[in-house]
Order: sequence, then structure tokens, then C-alpha cells
Amino acid sequence: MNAEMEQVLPAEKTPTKSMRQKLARIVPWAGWISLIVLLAIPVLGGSRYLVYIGTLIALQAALAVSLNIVMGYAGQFAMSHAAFYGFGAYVSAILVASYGVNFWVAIPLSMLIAALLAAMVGYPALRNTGGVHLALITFAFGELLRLVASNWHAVTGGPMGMRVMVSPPPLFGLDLSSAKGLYWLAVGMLLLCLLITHIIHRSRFGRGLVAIREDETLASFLGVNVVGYKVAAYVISSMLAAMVGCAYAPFMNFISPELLSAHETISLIGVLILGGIGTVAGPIIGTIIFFGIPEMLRVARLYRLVLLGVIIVLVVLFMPKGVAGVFNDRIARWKRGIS
Amino acid sequence: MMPALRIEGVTQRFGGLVAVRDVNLELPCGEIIGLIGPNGAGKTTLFNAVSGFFRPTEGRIFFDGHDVTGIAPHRLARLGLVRTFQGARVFPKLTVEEGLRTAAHLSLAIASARQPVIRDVMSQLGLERYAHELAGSLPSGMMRVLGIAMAIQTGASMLLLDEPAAGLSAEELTNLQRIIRSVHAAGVTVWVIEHNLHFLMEIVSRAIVLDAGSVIADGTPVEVTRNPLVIEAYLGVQADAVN
Repeated sequence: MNAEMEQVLPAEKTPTKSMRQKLARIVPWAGWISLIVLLAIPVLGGSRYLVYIGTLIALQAALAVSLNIVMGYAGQFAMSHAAFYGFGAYVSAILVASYGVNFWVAIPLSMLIAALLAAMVGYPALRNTGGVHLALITFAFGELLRLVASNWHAVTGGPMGMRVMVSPPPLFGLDLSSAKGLYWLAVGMLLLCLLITHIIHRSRFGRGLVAIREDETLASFLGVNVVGYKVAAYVISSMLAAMVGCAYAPFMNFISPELLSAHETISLIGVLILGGIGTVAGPIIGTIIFFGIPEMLRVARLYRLVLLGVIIVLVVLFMPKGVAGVFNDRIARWKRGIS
Repeated sequence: MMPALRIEGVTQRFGGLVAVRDVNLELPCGEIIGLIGPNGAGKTTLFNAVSGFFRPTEGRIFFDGHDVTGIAPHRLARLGLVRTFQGARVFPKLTVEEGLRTAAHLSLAIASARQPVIRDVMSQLGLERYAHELAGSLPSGMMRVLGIAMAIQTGASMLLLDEPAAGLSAEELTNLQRIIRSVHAAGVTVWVIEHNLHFLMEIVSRAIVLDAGSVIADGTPVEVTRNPLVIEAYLGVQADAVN
């Protein structure tokens, strides 16, 4: 297939080239523009329900984007993502509600504690093993956090969860405590996760992660600090998950240990596979398809997991690189002049 | 002058098997040196011990004055010692260009003063026309070249090449020789394991012969191929062909 493309290359010198290249440059933006439109609908439309869905999608997308760093770029199976999400939700809520910490101070604090925990779990798990061991250890760790959350009644309210009436105080004069304010908070977190992914994608660190994903041994012999990079990717991912968790409590006013459970992580993995693992736009596309559409069609509760199973099977069979992967291939072919 | 690589009494055991036995070598800077020996002589094991794949059971290894015994491969690479693998090990799902950019990891570090000895590896080594091809789809000769190009791209001052010529056509062999010579001319020390003696003896100034884990001969290609021990251990009836 590549050889064919090679042969067609001279065709690029035809006048249609500039047209094609312009279009090829616009197409990826179309994805981002549709994201912006989708996110803007709640604000323009203004119905409470749409704002609610918009916030939910933004939070889920931010989670998927942050999981993509350790999973898509570094290729490491971290099963503790939802656990760190719930951890962030609990820690920030407890800090604010029980200790009177300012919400904006509680976010970095929760992130810091999550980062330390992630490093403590990640380093021994990744030092000599990685692979399936990391999946098992992080799974066990996530379950451990969930069990702590559901049994430490005095602090977390136990298995029934806890009501938290936390609302963020104004930040730089912006009121973020209303439904729309929380929506913007979630969008802000999503954009921050995207920005961090974008920076990693273009950096030396990001290329090192991709090298590890493709061939760990070769990467190490070319000078990539494999263990260090994997742990760093895991810590960054988990830290961002905790950050997104901080927005959950004020949004839902209720946290339960279910938030930390492993099947939430598995849903996120489904989102990544669907959207295109290891691409910047993939997690967004996956979230919109997987959470957005069912939510809007109001079939979410009943059929989400069934849908997930079917979608993953279809995607793995027909577009192993995910939706974003298919887009990227199309764009690459467009640039080469093959329609 | 300080040797690029000094190996002191290195022994590598796997359980009861002694793969490498008390090897002592000094490899000076700026040479192309061959490492030959029959199958199972311990050549790749010696490379593995030197390149940080595993810690030698006994002995010490010094590179560029640093004791590098048993240190991690990425730290060795940072010091300038980089190996390639038997056959060709590349990132099959990355394009040639992406692979080379990835390999430049060390020279791209902010505080790094190191630069690849060949400025434009891609065009110098004839990889330009494959720039956007997936590395896994390259012809085997080009894949070898890419493996070496990536090693050069790290900014290495010494390369260990493990059987770079195996299975290549005559034309590809000539190209590979040219590449190794040009890397050497740019100041890189090269240590190469090779079974193809015609290929090897044309480029090396010195050949080390390993048999059953021990060094049995060490000298110029001519000396080595006339050494009766070597003929007995390795070259056998092919000795005439080599001369």
C-alpha cells in the first residue's frame, strides 16, 4: 500500500495540490470546531438539561484525555484511573467540607496527594515488570481505594456515599458556583488536559513515550529512561484524573464509592479504543460518541454497556486505530493526492 | 590514549553454562574492530553484557573512563555507547522520519551538547526517499541501515553492531560497508559482530576471535585468519577461501 502511495507522489505537482492541501489542513480543525459547537450548545441553548449533559461530557472527555497519556502514548494499562478520579472527588470534598480549605487550594492539594500515591504505586509496579503486572497492581490499588471509601464511615460516609454541598468560590471575579459556572469549570479542565496532551505530543518526552509503547527495549538502548518515563506518564495521568474529580462533587453534590470502581475505567478504555488511542482528538471523539449520543437519546442507563461491547468489537474489527486513526489516515492520503 | 572501551575479566554465567569466560580487552578510540567466532561462541552475550542488557557475573567494564558495569542501557546511551540488534530492530509502526526523530531523543535534550556525527543522516544514508514509509515496510537492507542511522542519531561515540550484514544482497553489503566506513570516518568507534568474513575483513583494522566464551586470537585480519587456533576453531576448511 505504501509503495502505491510512493508512486502517486509525483501527482502532487498538479494544480489540484494546493486545493487538496488546504482542505487537508481544514479537516482536522473541523473536528475541533464540532467539539467547540457541541460544548457551546449548553451555553447558547441554556436549558438546564443541556448544561448538565455538557458538563458531564466535558468531565468524561477530560478523564478520557488524561487516561490517554499513560495508555495511548506510553502504552501502559493503568486500571486505576477512575479510582484517582473518585479519590480527587473525595479528597477535595472532605478538605473543603470538613477542614474548611478553599476550593481552589483543595484542587492542587488533591492533585499533589494523588501524584504522590501514583508514584508510590507506579514505581514498584513499573520498575521491573509493567505490562499485565501494572494492570493487575493498579486494578488492586483502585479496588483498595474503593473499599476504603466504602468502609471508612467516619470520613467518607460509607457505602451509601456522602452528600457534599461544596461550591467553588468566585475565581478572578468569575462566578463558578452556578450550573453554568460548573460547566465552564469542567470545560476549563478539559481544555487544560488537552493542552497538556498537546504539549506532551510534541515534546521529547512524548516521543520517548511513543518509543516505549512501540518497543521498550529498543527505546532504552536509544537512551530513553523507560521506567522514569512510564512512572511520569502514570503520575501525570492520575494527577489529572484527581483534578477532574475535584469538579465532580460540586457538580453532583453527592459522591459514592461507585465512582472509583474499575468498570468506570473500563468504560474509559472503551472510549479510547473507539475514538482512537494515542491521538490528541481521539478521546474527545470517543466521549462524544459513547457518552454524548446515548445521553441525548436517553438510552444511556439501559444500554450503555451493551452498546460499549458492540462498539468495541466493531471498532477493533473494522478500524483498529479508532475513529481518529481513520481520520488521520484519510488526511494523510489526501495530502498525498489519493482521494 | 584512553581506550574507548575496556573490558576487565568479564565472565558471564547462566546457571552452569559459562557463556563468556574471563574476557580482557581494550578497544581504542576511532577504530573499526571485528568480533568473530563460531555460533555459540558468546559474541552476542559479550555484547549484551557490555551494552547493559545484563550485568556480567564477574569483571568490570569501563567506557570512556566511566565504570559502566551493569548500568542501565539508557544511561550507557547517554554516555555515548549505543548498540544495534541482530537482524534489524526498528519501530515498525513509526515512519522512518519519526523513528529518526525519536532516536534523536538524547541530542534533543535541552542541556545536551551532543550531536550526531553525521549531520543529515537521512539523506547521507539514502533513507530520504523512504522518509514517510513505515519502518516495518522497508526492504531488509534499508531496515538495517535505519537501525544504524537511529544509533548514529543518538549522537553515539561508539557503536556496537550485532551482525549487521546477515542476509543482505551483494549490493546492500557494499552500501553497508560504505556506511560503516563513513561513520568511522566521522570519528565513531565501531565494534561489529559478523559472520560474513569477506564483508568484515574488508572494513576492520583488527579482529577479535571468540571461541567457547574465551578470546583465542586478536590481531589484524591477516594475522587472525592465519592463526592455526582460529582455523581449527572456526574457519576450518574455509580458511583458503578467506585468504
